[in-house]
Amino acid sequence: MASSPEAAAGSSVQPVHKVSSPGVSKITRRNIIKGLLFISPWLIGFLAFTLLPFALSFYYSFTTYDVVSSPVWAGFDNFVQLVHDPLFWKSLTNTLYYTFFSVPLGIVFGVAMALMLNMKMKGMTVYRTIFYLPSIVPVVASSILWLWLFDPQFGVINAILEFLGIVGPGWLVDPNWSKPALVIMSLWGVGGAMIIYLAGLQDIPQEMYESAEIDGAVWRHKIFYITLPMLSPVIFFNLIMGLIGSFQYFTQAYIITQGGPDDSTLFYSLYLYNNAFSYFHMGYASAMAWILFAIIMAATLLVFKSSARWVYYGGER
Amino acid sequence: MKYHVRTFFTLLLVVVIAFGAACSSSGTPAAGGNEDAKAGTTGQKEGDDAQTAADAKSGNGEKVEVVYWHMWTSDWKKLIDSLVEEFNSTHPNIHVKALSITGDANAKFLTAQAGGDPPDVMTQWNQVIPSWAEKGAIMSLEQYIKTDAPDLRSWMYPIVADIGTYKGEMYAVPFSMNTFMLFYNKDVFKEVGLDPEQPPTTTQELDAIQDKLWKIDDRGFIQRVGFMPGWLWQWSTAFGGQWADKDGNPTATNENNLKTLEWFQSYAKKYDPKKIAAFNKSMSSNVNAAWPFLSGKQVFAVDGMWRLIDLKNYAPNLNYGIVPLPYPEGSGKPNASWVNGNYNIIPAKAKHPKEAWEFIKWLTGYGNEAWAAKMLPKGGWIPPSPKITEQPDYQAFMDEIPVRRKFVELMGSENVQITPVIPVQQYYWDRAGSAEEAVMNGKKTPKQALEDLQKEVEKEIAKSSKK
Repeated sequence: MASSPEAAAGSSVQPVHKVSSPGVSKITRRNIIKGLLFISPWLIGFLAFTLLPFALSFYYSFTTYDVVSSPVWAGFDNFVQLVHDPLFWKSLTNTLYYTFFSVPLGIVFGVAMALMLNMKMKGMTVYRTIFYLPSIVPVVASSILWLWLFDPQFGVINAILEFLGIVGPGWLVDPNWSKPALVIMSLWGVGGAMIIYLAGLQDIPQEMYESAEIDGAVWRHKIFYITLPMLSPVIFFNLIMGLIGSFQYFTQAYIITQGGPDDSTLFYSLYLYNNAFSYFHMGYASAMAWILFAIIMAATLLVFKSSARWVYYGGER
Repeated sequence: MKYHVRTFFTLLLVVVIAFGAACSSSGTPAAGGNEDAKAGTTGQKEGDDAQTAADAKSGNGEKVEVVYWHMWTSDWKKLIDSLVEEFNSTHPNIHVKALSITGDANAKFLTAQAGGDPPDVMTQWNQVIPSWAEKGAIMSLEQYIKTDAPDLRSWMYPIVADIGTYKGEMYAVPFSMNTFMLFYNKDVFKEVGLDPEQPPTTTQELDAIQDKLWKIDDRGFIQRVGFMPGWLWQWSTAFGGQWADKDGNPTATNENNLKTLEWFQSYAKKYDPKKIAAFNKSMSSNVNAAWPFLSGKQVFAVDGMWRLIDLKNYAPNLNYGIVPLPYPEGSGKPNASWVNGNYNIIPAKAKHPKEAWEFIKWLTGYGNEAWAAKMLPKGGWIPPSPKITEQPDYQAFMDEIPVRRKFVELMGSENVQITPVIPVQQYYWDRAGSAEEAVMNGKKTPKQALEDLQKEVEKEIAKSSKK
């Protein structure tokens, strides 16, 4: 296409054009090769450390594999066993419980905090830093910290409740309260999402608020008719990320509760991990991983489908 | 076109090789760094190290590097490093390189084993021995024992040999052991009018004094805990419980196991189970100075010999006594304890098993008793062999805090027990913990919990043996 003006310029140019035509594609090809070479570390890393394990785990999910000896084909055995494994269901229920509470609460808290930190006030940068800080504390460190805060006898949280005249629960040592405790803990680290909301908030044109004010809108109108709809793509993004993250919830439970008490914090990933590395059932664990993948995929698709109803892009649904 | 494709793949290959070389060579500089550090402390010249490196490369076997994985950090790591240092300086042909593997060492070991690049020797708690032996991940030490240490088995305390033995062959040799006893607070005994020199020896006696010891304020908060049962597999030893028969079949529903758990439940019914759980939690997570026993808020605690150092450091004025686990009158077992240890294993794919064996034999103190008697006190550990206990250095260590002797003497008791040496040990252990929690939280009766546990473990065995 680009060569057609040249071709029209005259016959004397044509031989040049004929020679240069393969030259152009030669350059292009060379560029492609160079480009590929430049990204080859990533490419190799992706192939060796992501795609290959991905494919292997799919294969392992149909085998009995104890890591030490070679895998033996087992067909759908692992999946059939999973259906009959009460701990599989328990871990799945625990994970759904956690997701059901932590993701929506995380969004509410994140947005609320971002709204507050978006106000014009002296020293706001300091506040923003303070609220963001928890999300840069390493999970292990914060987990140990929360272990102390939640201590039923000597912990700060129950001390405050006691001051208010409430007898605090056992938190992490009580099977009925261990999951709520972990949800509360997750809210503390909402700063990461909050920063994204904050960026989203600052993108909302001020004129919209101004014209709404002229129309007589008060703060709640502004929030529900301007802020939230305008923020919906950001909320949508955080919802998806939150879903994926909470379905794979692992570290905190691994460090703090190790699944206890009474299996109340035996989350899906934790049980998967135990099967793979403590009980020598890599095949079984791989099958679990693929089921989790399917669940996350389905949940994400569902959210994507629903997004047409509530996510606004550039003021339109 | 064809030419370009070939160039591309050639270049790709170069990158891959460069990448691979970078990965594999990363071991060499690290090793060099280690050697340098060693040279700094022992005063060797750099030239020696270069020579060593050259030897290792050319493979003429003058100095073999043994990679040793252990689980210790901070002060413990320093102790281990000093032991390794001593070994290296006394064994010119072997250089042991100690690596502290933090986090989940089991997972790292398995992946290294699967990748064909495991360490030459590794220290682990004994729970892993049967499953790793069954899967062929670690090697039987019998060939070395036969030629090099034929009386090793009789040299050890009998229980020590039992833990390391799977299907008649020894797979692991420990260098230190742990036993457990009941600590009690003499000051509180005095305060409530009990004779501090008459601690309970039976569970009945223990139960009878509880009302005097517990302190609960008017709002229901526990101010002082008397005795709090916890850790089923520890206490079942005093009840004569069994978790597996001789053939390795689980026996979770054993009547004495049930009695133990029923005894646990009696406490859960009497006191708020959640608060009991809270205290159990604190007990398991509080190291050193944070041990509740030190604050006097807990009158009894089951723990190991190393706690004596904590008591000395953090509560020098606390008067405490130590007794073997109380046992049920009549049917119970005196001088009972659950026993574990730090065991050394050699992976099946180890590159230098012979040198690794040399190292673990030395570390365990076989033929090296006088050294071991000096080394074990540094970690507050119990020797794996009575031959080490006899040594003057270890005797002096026990005399320093006389109750130490009681912990060590337990090793010879006929009522000490180990975690059943069966391949699903880790699973069994985890699920037993869950069963205990279910009972303490009132979610299951002891009978139900043990029956469920039995079923779970049987299922797991079926799953593991299916091939």
